[in-house]
This record gives sequence, structure tokens and C-alpha cells, in this order.
Amino acid sequence: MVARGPAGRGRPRDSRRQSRPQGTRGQFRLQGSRGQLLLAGAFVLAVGLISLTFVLNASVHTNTLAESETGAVRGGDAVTAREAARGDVGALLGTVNREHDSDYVQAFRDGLPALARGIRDHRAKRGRLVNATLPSSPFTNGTLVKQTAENGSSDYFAKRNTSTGSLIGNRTIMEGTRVRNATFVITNSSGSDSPFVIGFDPATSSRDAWELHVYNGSRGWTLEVFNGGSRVGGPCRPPEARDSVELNIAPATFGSDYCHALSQLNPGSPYNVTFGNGNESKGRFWMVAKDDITGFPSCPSPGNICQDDALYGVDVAFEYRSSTVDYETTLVVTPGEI
Amino acid sequence: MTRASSDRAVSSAVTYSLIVVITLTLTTGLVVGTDALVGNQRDRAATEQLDVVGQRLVATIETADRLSATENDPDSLVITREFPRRVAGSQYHISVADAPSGSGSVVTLETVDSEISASMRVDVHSVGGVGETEIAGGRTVVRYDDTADELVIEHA
Repeated sequence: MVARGPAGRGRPRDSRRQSRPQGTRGQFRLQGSRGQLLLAGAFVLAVGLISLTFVLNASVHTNTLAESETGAVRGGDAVTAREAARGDVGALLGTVNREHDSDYVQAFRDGLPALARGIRDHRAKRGRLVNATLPSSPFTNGTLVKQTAENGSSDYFAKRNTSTGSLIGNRTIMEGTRVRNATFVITNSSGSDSPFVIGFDPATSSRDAWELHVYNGSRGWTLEVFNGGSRVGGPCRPPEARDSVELNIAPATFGSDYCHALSQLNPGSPYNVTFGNGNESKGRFWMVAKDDITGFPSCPSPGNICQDDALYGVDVAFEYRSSTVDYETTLVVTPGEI
Repeated sequence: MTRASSDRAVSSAVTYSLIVVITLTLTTGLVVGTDALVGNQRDRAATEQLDVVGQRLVATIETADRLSATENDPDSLVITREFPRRVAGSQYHISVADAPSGSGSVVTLETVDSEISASMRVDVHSVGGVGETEIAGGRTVVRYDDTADELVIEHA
């Protein structure tokens, strides 16, 4: 049996004691190196993740920018403002034509500043400068041609032969011009065999003539549009039966309903306006011709076609300025021009 | 007893070496993988940004076309746009050329250093066309040139 003395026990203990601190220091070194390695790895990983975050954030930012862009920055608001001004000036033009027989030019001059102030104030709230002014020589004179049939006795669209008293159904209303705001109210018409025909014949070009055929047939009021003898689209009919029907050419409505075939009407300019089968159709109409028209008595002339001076169009200097858009142009306002 | 202590020391060394190797391998893999991922995402971000900037420029050109669509030519028409000077960290340039088909124009945006590009077609109707040009990305002006009756793209 081996006797273990203090010395014998102590040696290994001493050696353990001696080696333990060394081993502990070694472990510290090992753990320290491993920690540094892990730290370096974590650092690289963090840099990579941060880079990824930046790139992804840039992508998200791009999408946000794309979605948040407004028409005002792109300039779409300038188009809206211009068309609103055109509509407002057109409405003013219609008002002075309707309510002022002779002093319509001065009435328009008086009305435009107030209108422009309204437009300017409305846009100024959004930080934009919009202005509408009259340039020199802004007015285009025209002639209002109408048949109001106020006495209801001779409201045919035909012309009456002064010697025989008979009705001439086919007639030319005006030649070599252009019209706007052409509106017809047809109160009486024959069937499809002899429809009331409104013609737009090119005065100078070789384009095909356009014809609008209106009749009150077995299926009620019907409008058919022809170009060069071929029918354009399908016939248009109001949804319900009625005694009369209104044909408004510029907005392409027939009996207040939109008519796609009528919207195709494009006779060019200038053209002749003709009526056909006017001796079998009754009603009223009014339109403003671009030029001075002669051949009709001055209004009022109940039951007959009459004419009056009117404003055909007006030029307006339009200005729009925002942080991104500078825009100036001259608008030619002719509402309802065909 | 002595051999066991010696084995334990060897085991520590092997463990240390293994840890070092595994850590290095994992870290390298992560770095390489992250680098590739970052690169791909960067290219995608650049492509998307070029596409967005191009679409915004085309929309601006079309708006200028609508603003020019009046009875009289505009007396003045200038639209200024603040586009980013860089996309995903890269400079880029904008070029406008006539479309190969003969009608319309093609707007191309291309980064300078990584050859990422986006192209889109634009048609104008109220003016003669869009003038051919090549400019650096950034603040851009779309202007109506009444002499040439065309829209001009310029660097502001």
C-alpha cells in the first residue's frame, strides 16, 4: 500500500495548482479569441444586414414616391385649370349672347374680370397663379341663325315660295362657314321614308358629306348618321316615346341621351349647312355661324328663320404658374363648335 | 491519468480549431451570401427606380403634349421636375431617341456604372415630336420649342 504523505499528496495538488492557473489563462485566451472571432462575424453580418436594409428601403421609397406623385407636380392641374377656364369663359359667352342683343361685346368685357378673379382666387388657395385676360382684338363675330316658331303657325324647316306659297323642303341655310351650338327641337316629322335631313357638305375640300336623318317612325324618334351615303354606327333613339325630340350636335345628344354615331360627326371646315325634307318636318333650331350671314330677316321673326348679330368666339390669354409649371397660351373659346 | 490529461489538451486544441474553422466558414458564407443578396437587391432597386423615374418623365411629356394641344401654340410652356440624381447609389443618364418603328419616341434611362436600364415609349400628337437628346439624371425640364415645334428635354 502506498503511503501518502502530505508531500505525496501535495505534489499532484501542487502540480494541479500550478497547472490550473495556466489552464485557466489558456481558456481565457481561447475564449477571448473565440469572442473576437464571433464579434468580427457579428460585425460583418450587421454591416450586410444594414446594407440590405438601405437597399430595400430605397426600393420602398421609390414605390412611395411613385404612388404619392400628384397631377399638380406633373402639370395635370394646369390642364384641368385651362379646361375649367375654357368652360367658364364659354358659359359667359353663351350668357352674353343670350341676354344682350347688341352690347354683348361690352357685356363680355365687363364680365370677364370677375370671372378671372374667381378662377385666380380658387387656384391661389393651392399656391398656383392662374389668370385669364383679354388680348387685343379678342372677338370673333358671328351670326345667330334661329327659328323659334313662337306663333307655331309656320314652323316648317322649309322655305316658302313667295309667289306660289308652296313649301320648298330642300334648302341651303348657310354656305362656306362653320357653326357652333347647333340645336334642333323637332316637333313633327314623317316616317323613315322622308326623314328630316340636316346636311354638312364640305365647301372646299373633297371630304364626304355628312347627313343627320331624324324621323318619327314605328319605334319612335330615331336619328341615323350618314357619311358619304354610308350609315355610321347604329340608330339612336330616346328611351321613351315623346312628342318632340331635341338634337344637340356638339355634345352628341339625341333626346338627352348620348348618341355615339353623332359623336363621329366630323365635317371639317368650312362647310355648307343644308336642310332636306323640311316641308315634312316642323320644329325649332338655333345655331351661331362663324361669319356674317345674309338672307334672313332680323329677329324676331316668329315662325321664320331669322338672324341676329352674335359673338362666335373669343380669344383669352391664359396663364398658369406653379412651382413646377410655367404655362402661357391663347385659348380660342368657341363652345359647341362643330 | 497523464494520458487522459494529454488527450484533454489535444481535445481542446481540436475543439478550438474546429470552432475557428466552422466560424470562419459560416462567416465567409454569410458574407458571400449577403453580398450577393445585397447586389441583387441593389440591381432590383435601381431597375425599379429607373422605371419609376422614366414613367414620371413620360407622364410629364404627355402632360406637356396635352398643354400644347390648343388652337394656338403655347407662348410659353416649361415643366420642371425634380428627379433623383442617383438611383440606388448610381448616377444615370436619360436619352430620348426616335422610335425604330418611325412613330413616337423612346425614353431610355441607364445607370452609368452597372448598365442597368429601363426604356419606355412615348407618343405626342399636338407637336412635331420630342427632340433627341441625352442628359444626366436629376433636375429635368420639359420645354416646348416653338421654333422646332417639338418638346425638348433638358437638364436644369
